[in-house]
Amino acid sequence: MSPRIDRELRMAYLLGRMTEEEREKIADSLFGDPAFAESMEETERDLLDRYARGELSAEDRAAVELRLLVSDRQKAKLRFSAAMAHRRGAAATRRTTGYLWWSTLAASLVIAAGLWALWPRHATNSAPNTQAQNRDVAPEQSKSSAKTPAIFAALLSAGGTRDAARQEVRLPKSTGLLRFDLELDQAPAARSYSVQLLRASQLLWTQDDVSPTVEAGQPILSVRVPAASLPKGSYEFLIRSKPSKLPPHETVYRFLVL
Amino acid sequence: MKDQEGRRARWQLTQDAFDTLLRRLADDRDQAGERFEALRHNLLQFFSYEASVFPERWADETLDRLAKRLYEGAAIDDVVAFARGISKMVLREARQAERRERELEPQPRLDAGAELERDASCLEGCLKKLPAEHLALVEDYYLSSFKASQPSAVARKALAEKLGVSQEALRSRAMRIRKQLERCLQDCRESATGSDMVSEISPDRNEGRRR
Repeated sequence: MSPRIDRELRMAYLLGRMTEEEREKIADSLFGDPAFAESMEETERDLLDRYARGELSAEDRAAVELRLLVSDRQKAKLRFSAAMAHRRGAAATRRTTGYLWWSTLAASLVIAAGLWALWPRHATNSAPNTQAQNRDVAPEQSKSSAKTPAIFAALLSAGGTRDAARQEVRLPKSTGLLRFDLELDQAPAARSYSVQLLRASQLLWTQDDVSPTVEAGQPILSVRVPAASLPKGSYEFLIRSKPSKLPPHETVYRFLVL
Repeated sequence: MKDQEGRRARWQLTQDAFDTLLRRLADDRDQAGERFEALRHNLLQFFSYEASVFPERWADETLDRLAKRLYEGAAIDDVVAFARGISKMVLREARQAERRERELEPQPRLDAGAELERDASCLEGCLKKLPAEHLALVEDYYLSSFKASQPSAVARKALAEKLGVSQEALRSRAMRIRKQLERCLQDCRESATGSDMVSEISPDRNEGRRR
């Protein structure tokens, strides 16, 4: 295969959007064509850079996570991209407002990231279901995944709305676990939080000692809730910072399950 | 995974088998070493792009099986193509072995602010270690030239023209420096904190750590 395979084709390979037969041909070229292998690496790094800067659509972000951020080796590459994105953000900040670097970076990532995502998190190597975004999850599951409850993920902002729209989650029947990523509005001061899931003030689920993580520069709390705990209705997460030198802080995340 | 461990237990890569593999890659030992690292890099790329959790493990498994077949005297004309064939079989096994581990994989637990701050500090240190012309190239290629109003391909083409080199040569140069920086950042993360945490960047530093 020519080293001039266009960028879209390399992206499709990296994001898992081609048939197995096509993948094999591309992979053959990795071994037989050093120039092509290098151009693939460049496309990979560009994807990770854009992921770190929050410039990918929710669909592409999900595909990057499923395909390219599985191993420690790949996650190390993303850490580099995130550090580069920070450097770029910090430079821009110095030129403009002088805000702390992390607030500028976090804001730019949140704005550019598509703001609201719900995507399937299959634990198989099948290509990601690219129809799953913007609160709707495609109902079809592969035969292999039908044996294993699927894991889906939803990103929630504090409060009850996201971009002035209600935060809604649609769960396909196959969902076993739902991963909620709760956005923190700033670099967290607390090292851990308690997370409670409430419905009409009734406690449904709770988890203590949840540590903040970073996804593409955005601090989040990530928790996994059994889908069986989430029949249709209104819910809220309540997070509380664990005892620290700072006063305890509470944040509410409201959402609807449809 | 038990199958994999069992296989490894039955056959261990020996120095003789490894030497046989190197001889088949090239007569000259240094050249053979370079080709070995290139092959391993291709395998790492392949398994990483196939969403493997342990690309290093499967790349080395592929190389072990290749060395074993060569050591046993298998008639193999094209060693790299043969390795590619083995990698397909290993991938099928890897997918099966990793399925359960991926389902149970915990989310990474990072201290959000401190983690990124430390990485950024490490990166700054790594960039300072670069020769001025490499730093300028990284700035132009990865930082300044990537603007929303100007797609990276256009900016990079313009940069290649400005420097009087081909786009392929520029890409190779930028990627080489980037890999040095990635390694430097990783080393910095793994080392103790403090002003001495940034390691020296060696242009000849080899990415491979096997054997």
